[in-house]
Amino acid sequence: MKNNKLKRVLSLGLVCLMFTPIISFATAKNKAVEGLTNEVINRGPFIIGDVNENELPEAERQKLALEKAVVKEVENGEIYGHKLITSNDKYELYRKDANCSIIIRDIASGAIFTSTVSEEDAKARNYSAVAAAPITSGIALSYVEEKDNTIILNSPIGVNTATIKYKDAKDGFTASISFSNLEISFDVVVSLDDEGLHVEVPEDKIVEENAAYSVGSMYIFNGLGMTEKGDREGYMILPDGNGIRVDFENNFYVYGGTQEAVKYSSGYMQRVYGSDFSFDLANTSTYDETDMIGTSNSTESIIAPFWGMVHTDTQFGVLGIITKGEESAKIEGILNGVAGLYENYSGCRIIYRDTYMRSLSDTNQYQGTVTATPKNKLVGDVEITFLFTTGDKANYIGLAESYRNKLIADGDLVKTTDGTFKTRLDFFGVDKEEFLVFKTDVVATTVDNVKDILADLKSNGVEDILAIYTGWQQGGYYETPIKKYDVANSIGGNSAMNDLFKELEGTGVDLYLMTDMQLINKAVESSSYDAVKTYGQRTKEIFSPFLKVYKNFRYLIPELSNEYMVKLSDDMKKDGIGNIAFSGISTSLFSYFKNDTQYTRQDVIDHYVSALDKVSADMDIVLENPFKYMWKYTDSYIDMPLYSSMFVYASDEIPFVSSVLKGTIDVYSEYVNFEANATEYFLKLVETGVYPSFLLTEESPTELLHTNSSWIYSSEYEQYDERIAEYHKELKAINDKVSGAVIVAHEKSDEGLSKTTYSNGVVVYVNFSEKAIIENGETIEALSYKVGEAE
Amino acid sequence: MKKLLKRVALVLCMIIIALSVSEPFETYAKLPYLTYTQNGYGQYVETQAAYTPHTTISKITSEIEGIDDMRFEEPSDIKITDDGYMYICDKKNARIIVATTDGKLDRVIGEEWLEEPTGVFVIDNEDDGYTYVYVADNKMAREEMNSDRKERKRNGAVVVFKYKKGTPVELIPQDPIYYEATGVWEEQPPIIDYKWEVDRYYLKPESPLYGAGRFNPMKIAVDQSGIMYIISEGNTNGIVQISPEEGGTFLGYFGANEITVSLGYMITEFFMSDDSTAIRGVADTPSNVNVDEDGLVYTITASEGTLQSVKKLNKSGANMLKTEVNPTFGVGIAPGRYNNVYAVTSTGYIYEYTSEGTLLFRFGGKDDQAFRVGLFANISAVDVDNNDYLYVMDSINNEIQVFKPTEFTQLVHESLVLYQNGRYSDSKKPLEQLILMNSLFDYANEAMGHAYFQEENYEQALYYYRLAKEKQGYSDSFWELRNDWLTSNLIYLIVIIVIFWLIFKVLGKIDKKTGLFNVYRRMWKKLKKNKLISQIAYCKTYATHPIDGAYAVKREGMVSYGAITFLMILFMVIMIVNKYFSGFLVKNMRDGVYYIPTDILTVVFGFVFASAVTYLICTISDGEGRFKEILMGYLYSFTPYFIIQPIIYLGGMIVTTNEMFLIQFANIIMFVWIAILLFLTIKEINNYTVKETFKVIGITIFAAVVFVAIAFILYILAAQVINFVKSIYGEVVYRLEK
Repeated sequence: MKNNKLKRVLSLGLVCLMFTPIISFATAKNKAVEGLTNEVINRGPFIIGDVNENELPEAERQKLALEKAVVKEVENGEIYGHKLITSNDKYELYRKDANCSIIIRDIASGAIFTSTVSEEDAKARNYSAVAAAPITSGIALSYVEEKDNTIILNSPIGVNTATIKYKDAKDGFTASISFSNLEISFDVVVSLDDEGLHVEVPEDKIVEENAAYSVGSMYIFNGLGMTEKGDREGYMILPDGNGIRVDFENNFYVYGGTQEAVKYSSGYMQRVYGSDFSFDLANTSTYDETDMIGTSNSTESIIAPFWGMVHTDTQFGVLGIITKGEESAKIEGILNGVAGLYENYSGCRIIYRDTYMRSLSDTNQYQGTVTATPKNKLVGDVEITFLFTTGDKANYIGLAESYRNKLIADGDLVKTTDGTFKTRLDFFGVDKEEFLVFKTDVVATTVDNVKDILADLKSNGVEDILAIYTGWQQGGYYETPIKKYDVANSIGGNSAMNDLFKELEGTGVDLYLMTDMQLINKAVESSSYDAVKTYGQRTKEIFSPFLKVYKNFRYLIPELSNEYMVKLSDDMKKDGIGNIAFSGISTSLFSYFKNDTQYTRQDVIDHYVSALDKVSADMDIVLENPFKYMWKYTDSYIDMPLYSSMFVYASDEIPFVSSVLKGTIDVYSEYVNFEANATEYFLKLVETGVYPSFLLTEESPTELLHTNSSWIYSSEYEQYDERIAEYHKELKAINDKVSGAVIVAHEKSDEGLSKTTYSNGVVVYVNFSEKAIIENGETIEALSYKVGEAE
Repeated sequence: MKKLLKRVALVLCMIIIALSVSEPFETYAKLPYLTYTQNGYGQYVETQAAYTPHTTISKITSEIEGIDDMRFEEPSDIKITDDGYMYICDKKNARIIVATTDGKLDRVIGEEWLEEPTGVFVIDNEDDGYTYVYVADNKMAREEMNSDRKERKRNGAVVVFKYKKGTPVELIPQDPIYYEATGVWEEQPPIIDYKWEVDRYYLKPESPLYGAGRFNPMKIAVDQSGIMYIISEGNTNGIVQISPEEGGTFLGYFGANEITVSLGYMITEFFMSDDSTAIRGVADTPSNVNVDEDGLVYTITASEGTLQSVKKLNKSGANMLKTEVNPTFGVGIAPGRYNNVYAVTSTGYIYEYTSEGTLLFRFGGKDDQAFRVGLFANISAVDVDNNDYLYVMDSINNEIQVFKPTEFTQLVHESLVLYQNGRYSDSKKPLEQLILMNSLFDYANEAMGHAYFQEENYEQALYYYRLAKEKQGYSDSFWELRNDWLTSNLIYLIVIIVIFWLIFKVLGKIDKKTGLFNVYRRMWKKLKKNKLISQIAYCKTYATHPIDGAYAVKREGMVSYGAITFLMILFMVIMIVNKYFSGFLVKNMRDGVYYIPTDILTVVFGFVFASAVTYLICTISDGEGRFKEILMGYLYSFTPYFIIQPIIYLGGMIVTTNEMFLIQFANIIMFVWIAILLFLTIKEINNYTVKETFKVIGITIFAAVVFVAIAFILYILAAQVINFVKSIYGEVVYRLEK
């Protein structure tokens, strides 16, 4: 009897135990789902309230706005409560003490750029103090608050709540701003010189006295050049892809007869140099859970920290650039309607501290996470420069030109091009596929194949080539990191490669060996010691379920990237090879954690740049899609994005970055192979002056079907030989006419005709539409181009 | 169990999603969305963009003086006619907006007659010159339809409007009205006459066949003879089919979906008594319907799971599409110009299928608040115009996104037309270009196979069919090639066989006379004295005389771990060769995928586990067998596999689908033989009766399931405990750091 009872109790216990995992699975799943669905919120229409009956008609608003934007005569040395501080030959700087607002006035035309909206207007329009802080105050600050072990990242506040002491100098002023309630103070140094307006926030002047409050992020003259609704003519320039233009348009409209709605609930907001996995948890690229396939592409990374406002009606343009501290900044472009504000403005947010999630449990990152903030500031001294253009230079090409001049003056851009048109050909060497328990080489292009292809192209008139060999290393394309110069035997080994390099010496072909110095293939190097950990103290893993052979990758710690880069290049030099190409390190940037220390993105840049310094001393380097701080090291810019992220608010894509670089370094496109609209892409190359790129293999890409490289679906040389020759011939003909010249004007009509004018007077017309267009008496056929002289 | 596994999978997926970042390797010029096609295995593979965003229509601009631009709110359906007009079902404003495809207002139809329109269809009648606009309205707006107000709210109607295309809109000026109170003459806005009239309307069918359900038309499609196909909300019987005759004759229900029976339902059904209120399986109502020029009816159903959600129904209601990739949450469907089919899901995806149901493209996606063109908040409908531009309606963003086919897609369509008309050879030119652009596009590879097959170039056909994983075409080409080979080589083959036969015979004769091979015989005898070899060679005897065999295992020492190991390795080798290197037509594995460690583990674990469980059960059921004996017996029982499987393997290399029955037949013989041997092994080794044997087998299977379940639970528990400890550790470290 007793025995029976015991049995019953035991079995009941067992049953309970059996259910625990089931229950915990269920709860775990729910939490995960919650975490995800939070991010998916539908957009539009965003109803903000009843229709404002008192609003002036649009035409009257436009007239009034233009009148306010030009101050021909300055009365009492004051404009809208701002008093004159300093001036140079062209511009005057005004300041309003209460909120540290500034105004820049073009002396010749009287056109002004304001940086804040007046207090009365803000009040009359019921602006939320938080949303409007960056445009009601010259400087705005968001602070991090630590309370009861919780970390709160507060919304921005304006300096009108702080004590400001000004110290005027000959060329500007220093504002010492102190928030007594937060016990935070800092200096902002503003100076105007012939180049433009400089703003500095020195690190050593930032004082945080109360441990509970620290600087989160800072908005510095974000409103400079702002406009209201669609009242002014002009546009905003944002650094998405090659650059986008956002025209000023009224985004408010009537919904449901009586309510006022706005088109967008948020604007452009991107971290400079791409997202940082220590802070930006969910990357924009997502997977479909049921089908395990990607659903959307990530947005284009910011390759250079710029933004701009152009007032075409008053012919006044400004380009903001961060010259120091940009690695921890976000660039924002806010359109009217967002948060109910009337203003269009763009600027940067310097991030001193961000929050990150630290997971305390092991399996599920949505369980037991705490919000944390870095121990130290993420950025040191900050410097921002505003460049101004007027007259016929007040457009994106004019601003690109002044940006190029600044880059060259600062030594950030070095002229390397001799103006010769080149076609870029990437040769894909080896990858691996599974065979029983082994991984075997799948050879796509051997060294001899490359030799033959180059000879064949030469006979077809393609002599000037930038050739890049990828997947040349022992083990193939995904065998990373590459620690020594060891060419895969299956493509010919070191001796064949050395011969090829020797043979190409003195020809028009520059051959580079491509190396990824950032990714670790987990199957090749499984130790997590070399791998980067996020601030949350987790090894950063990249898992790609669609890859066929190697699915797991990690990031190499920058110290080792540096070491391997130097070692490999030394190794190559011994064999007489002087050309190396790097990917990975040039396209992605992160902050990381190692041995109880949090390293910032600047630390990573330092490692990469110091390696490049050493390698570039006696080798030629090509970098893939490099960020601005690496431009001076690369001989050519490869993989320039010609398309943007296609934000709904973008009015047009503009060739901003390519115009900055055109004429100083050769710029090559992404692979032509994978373009579904080959004609349109060709025209895009004609329009921007970017050189074409092809990915080539000797074998059919079907050979690579079972390798990680199954994403290559079109690359066989036999199918591309004629096309390469054709592209080369046509584009070379255009390039020869503009060789050495820079782009001085670019416009695109609504019908789809683009017009690029070069400094030597040559004009390239490209018709993207499906109808012939007549321009200046010349007929440009549908989907074609014409090269002419400027009128 | 299944649910639990699903959950496990889900959690794993979540973790994967959480860990993933963008592909660091691919360098395409990027659109916001990715485009996929299906490969020969029915899996998604990425391809270049099929459609690129062209424009977004968020308001209808008016060029008619006196009429303002219009915005549509919560649009629910769209139809585009061949002459370039689009009909937008503007649900919230209860009207149909007629506009040109570039967004210019033509007229507005149905104001005051509609209350909650959700579906629209348009027929241009060439006989009387009128255009008929059919609108499915969830409610009845007008009293003349039904005087009972409650009934008007409960049931809806189909209202048919007519107008003459091109009739200009008329603005009738109104006299100012004098307000005595204020003493002011107030200007009145003109009345706009859009020049349409109500032709007729249809209410709930009175036929008893319709049943008691409500009539709430959601979507409508009309064929050339005027028969209406109406989806009524919540009506699970199928699509309501109404003929226009006699003011609307109910013809019956059409194209109902199959009832999906889930495992959960089956279990519930099993345990519930007949009269209890168990939830019955209910067929999902289609969410949209369309009709093409040939009168074929297309439906889409917003269901989850593997159900065929996209259908093309012929007159008899039979589905003609065979899709391997099915959209979930489907809401809109439209036939294209090339017998292709477009389907859209509310989650933001757009699918294009061939007339047979092969997925050509899938693209689009959910707008994650990034405000990017080509992504959607909630798709409600789709239609396609004469230039193959797609008009995709978003009912939350209140806009229509227009997509333009890329050069690649134009080539696909071009070859589609030729291919579907059987002009395979003509289709070669566009196909070659397609393959140049994407060598891994299996639809093109398959079509190319057909083209070469028609040209009797069987070698090339075989190559492309193999690439496309198209078995029937491969088999046909192989048959032709084999036939060719046989015709030219049969004679040699016969000669060779005869020669071999002769040599064999002659040698046999010589051997008989002179003992030519006695040396080898002696060697074999000597070898057989080796215990291990004799044990291995005993297979042959065991397979034909299992009762003697079991006895030999038990009593004559025909058992050793050496023999066990050898046979297991033999089994693995045959299995692996057969699994990964068999002929294409009999191969079940995908190319380039190997699970060798798993295979080896499965074999070892399978045999050892099965033997162990049998042994355990046998020991408590008075069995005489020992573990080693049972394991040996099991392996001996697989002798037919060692003998027949290699033959099947070789056969698989040379058969076509026509002779596939031979392979199947051989398989059946093999497995039946193995089953008999296994049964006899258990019986004889343990000295059981037949009845006892059956009993023991039953218990063994049950025990095996229990063991697996326990192992699984222990594994999960252990994982939980480890996770718990790690969490505590993490928390402690974090607190200490602070």
